[in-house]
Amino acid sequence: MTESKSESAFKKLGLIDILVESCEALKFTKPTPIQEQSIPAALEGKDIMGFAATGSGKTAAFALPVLQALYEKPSPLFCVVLSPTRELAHQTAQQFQALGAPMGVKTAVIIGGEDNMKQAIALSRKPHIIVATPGRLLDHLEKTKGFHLRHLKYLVLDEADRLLDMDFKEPISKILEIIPSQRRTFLFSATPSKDIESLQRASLRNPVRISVSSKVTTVDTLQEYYVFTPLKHKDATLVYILNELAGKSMIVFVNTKDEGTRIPMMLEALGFSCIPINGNMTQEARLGALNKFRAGSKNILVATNVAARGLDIPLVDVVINYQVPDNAADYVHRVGRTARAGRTGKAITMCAQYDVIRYTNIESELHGDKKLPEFPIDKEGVMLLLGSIDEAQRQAKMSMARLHERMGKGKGGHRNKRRRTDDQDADD
Amino acid sequence: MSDDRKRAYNALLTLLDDDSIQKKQKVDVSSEPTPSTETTHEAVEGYEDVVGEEDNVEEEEIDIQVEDDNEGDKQDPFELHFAHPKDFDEPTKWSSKHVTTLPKLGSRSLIQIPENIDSSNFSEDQDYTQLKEQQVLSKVKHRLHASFKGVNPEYSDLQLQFASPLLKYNDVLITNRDFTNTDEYLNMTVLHMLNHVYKTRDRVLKNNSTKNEVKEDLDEFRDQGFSRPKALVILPTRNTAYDFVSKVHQISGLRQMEQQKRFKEKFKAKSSDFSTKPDDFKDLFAGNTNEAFCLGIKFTRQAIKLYTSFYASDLIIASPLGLRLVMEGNKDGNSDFLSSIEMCIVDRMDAIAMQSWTNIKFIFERLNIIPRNMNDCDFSRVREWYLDNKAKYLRQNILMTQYLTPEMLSLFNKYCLNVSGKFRSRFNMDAVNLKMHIHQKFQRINPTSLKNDSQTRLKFFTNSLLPSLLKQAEPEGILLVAPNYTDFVVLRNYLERNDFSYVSMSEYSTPSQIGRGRTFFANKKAQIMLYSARLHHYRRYGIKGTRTVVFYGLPDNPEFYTEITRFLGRTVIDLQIDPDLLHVHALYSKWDALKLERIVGSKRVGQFIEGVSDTYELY
Repeated sequence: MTESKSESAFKKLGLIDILVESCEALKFTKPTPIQEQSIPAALEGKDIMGFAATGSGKTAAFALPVLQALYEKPSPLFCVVLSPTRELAHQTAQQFQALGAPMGVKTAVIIGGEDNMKQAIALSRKPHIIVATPGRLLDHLEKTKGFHLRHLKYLVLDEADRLLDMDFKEPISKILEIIPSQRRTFLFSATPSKDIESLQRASLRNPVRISVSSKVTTVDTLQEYYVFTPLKHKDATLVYILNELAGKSMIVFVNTKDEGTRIPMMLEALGFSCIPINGNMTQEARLGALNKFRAGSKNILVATNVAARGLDIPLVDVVINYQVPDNAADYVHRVGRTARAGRTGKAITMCAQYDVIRYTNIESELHGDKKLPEFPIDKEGVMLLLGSIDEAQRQAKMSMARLHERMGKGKGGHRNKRRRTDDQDADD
Repeated sequence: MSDDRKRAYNALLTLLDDDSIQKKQKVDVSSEPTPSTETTHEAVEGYEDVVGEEDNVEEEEIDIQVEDDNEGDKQDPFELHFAHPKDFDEPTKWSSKHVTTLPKLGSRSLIQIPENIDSSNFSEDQDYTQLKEQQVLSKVKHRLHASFKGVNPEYSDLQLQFASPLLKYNDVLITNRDFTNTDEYLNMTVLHMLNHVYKTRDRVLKNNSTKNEVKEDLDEFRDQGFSRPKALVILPTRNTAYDFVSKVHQISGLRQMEQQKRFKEKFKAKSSDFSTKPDDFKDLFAGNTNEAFCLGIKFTRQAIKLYTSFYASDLIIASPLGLRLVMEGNKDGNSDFLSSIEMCIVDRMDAIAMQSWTNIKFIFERLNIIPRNMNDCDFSRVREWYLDNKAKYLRQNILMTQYLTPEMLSLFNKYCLNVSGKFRSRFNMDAVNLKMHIHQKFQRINPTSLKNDSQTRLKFFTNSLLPSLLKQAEPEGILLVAPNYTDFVVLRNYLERNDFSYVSMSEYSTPSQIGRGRTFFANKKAQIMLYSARLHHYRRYGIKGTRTVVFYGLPDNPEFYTEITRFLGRTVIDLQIDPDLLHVHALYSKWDALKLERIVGSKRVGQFIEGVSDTYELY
């Protein structure tokens, strides 16, 4: 019943069958507000200026009309999407790939930090969709012989506020000079600003303005909880929660790289299948970790703030804030990893005695007077876990010490001593 | 520029430690000694050009009036193999078939084709028969016809048979390339290579002009690789390079050759007097025998340009050493200019094997790798199969040698992966003709594995063979031939440790050491002479006073077996000794089958390797 209703919902927006089927295959049940408003306008051939937060389904909001136009008149090097970060670029490309798979769309990701030559080869295969960070794209436009965008039809400026934040102003304006002026342009941003307005004037023509929500909020389908726990028992409580929610895919957010390394070690020692993603890792390692997570071979992702922005992992059921984030915007970004595109999800924030003020600030900013419910915890159950966790914590601590030593942070005086203890361990 | 020169110089200094140069310089006394600074500059000839030299590519692209004979001819091998090959998977397994229809290339020749690919997609037919003159010419650019006829008025059977796999763009491994058939093989090879270069170049020029007219980039314009050099020719010495380039010049039909004077000065030198040496030696060591060079050659409509920067060249002619020097001395040590080699020719592989085999492997490992830098490559023109990193499966390899060694075969099996097929010539070999009667005793050793070979060999030699030789009535005049330097060192250490009366001569010995050694041996002041096969390759001495020859291992070159054995004939005459008192002893194991076959002939080799008995005698 609901299916037939939702099917018509996407169809009603004016999408062709092949794309409606893709949406179904990806389990998009009903269009999000931003999709509802921007897709029909885009299909009419208008430029779009959209304000929407991450996780509001805006990638599909621009990908679907672009793909529909491509389907009607296929041509290579059809659309460029400018992304602020490498991760976001990869996700956007994947979304294009997933939605356009039945029509055989070819995409290329052109981002900094990866091999220029491989990208030049990818570009020379003439992909339909290029998802790029502005600096590297400009690099190729200027240096890669035989690559040009003379026949470009669509330009998308995704997360434009962050594009401008990250000093991409100059490459963007150069790219705007190079590409044809006869084209459609979509601009998306989380917040309006002066800079965005001037970028709009430079790139869009009579755009339709669409604003889903100008204030940062969490979506309705998200169930939010908090857990109050003494710092001493935090690890035990985390393990307790993970046990309670076993089988679901989860992200645990931490504030520091060190915690981001220690916690996975501890959880591994306890037999959880988890994987870290943090700033210590190279780009490939991060993508590799994400892929493992996405493929389901690991179901707990432990991430620092680097991963908090711009990641789209479609099947996350639960977000756990191991530490309270610094501010409301970060909180929204973090919990935005779940309950996406109309699905439900849980967010649990762990709050120790020192975090109370930070937590209440965020709570009041987002929900006003309304208090979030406490996640039900069996205190005795937590106490029972303490013993086994002690051992795991000790192991994690030692691995961390070893890691630091290897990275040159080790304190010289303790070296020999420590090595001796290691040997003893090995003998045991 | 000066920086580059310095780098080149440093590269050379390190290289001077390398044995191949040392050996060369020490041994090479008869050819005029070159002052070391001169050598330094010479050795990396062409290196400076890698970076520098503004190229006037545009100038030639204006006069476009290109005849493109073959465009649209779907049966043309060039079309099938390079211009529009069908898509294919990577070859996984190869199967071989006998080819008996090309007797001049060997009656037991093989064609190997990948099992998981339809090789017929890459050539118009799968027949291997002697071509007719007309068939050869029909596949060749018209403007090469007349000039080729001038150089090669008559086609020999060998040429017409060689043309069959060659013009199909098959990989070819030739094993009877000696000094007598230089022109036959090289004329054909050069014709084929120029044909390829011209066809590619003409297509590019034609597309340039069409593209300018339509102002679009269509997939039809994909007509080139990542970089311009498309043929690589690897030769042993500067003199062979000089002869090769002269052939290219004559067959190209272009009158003008730029920088000819400089080239002649650097690559051609007057021949030394080798009147006492064998003919093949005279051929190989004629003229300038310098083993380090790398030269870029470019073809324009009017002229051949020598010494062009590598990235702007169509053709690279190099020695293994010279090319490796350039590859390693290059800016970021890269070999991008070898990314789009479509034809790799290695001539006189036997002589190259005597220089240093590691260099040739080094080069083959680095052919057709996707370049690291863009180097002004036009990506809208790069062929799909380059983008797919499949260029190495379409590259044609033409390997020519006088005799086959296991190393060459391994190169052919491992790095030659041409999906259109791999032709390997194999002959029924006769035993060597010594023209005299001498007792030759072949002793098989049976090591359990290849790893144990040298150990078992040494054990047999020291425990049974050498003691028995020393018990002879006149235990002098034992010439011990070491097939390679490792064996040489092992034997020398053994002889030294056990206080034998011996002299030793290797490619690293000084002329005075050699002179003294020969005199001592001839005057019976030393019982044993240890002699390395490589020294023989470079010097071809005659050793007086030899009564017994021991081949610790057989030499790769069957000629050496004959020549060294015939030292005994001289002893017969000099000392008036009954030839029946003189002996040859040769040690071999089953891994020496290739060398053994050349010496005892194809008929006997099976029995020698697999027979019940461990010793066989020939008389």
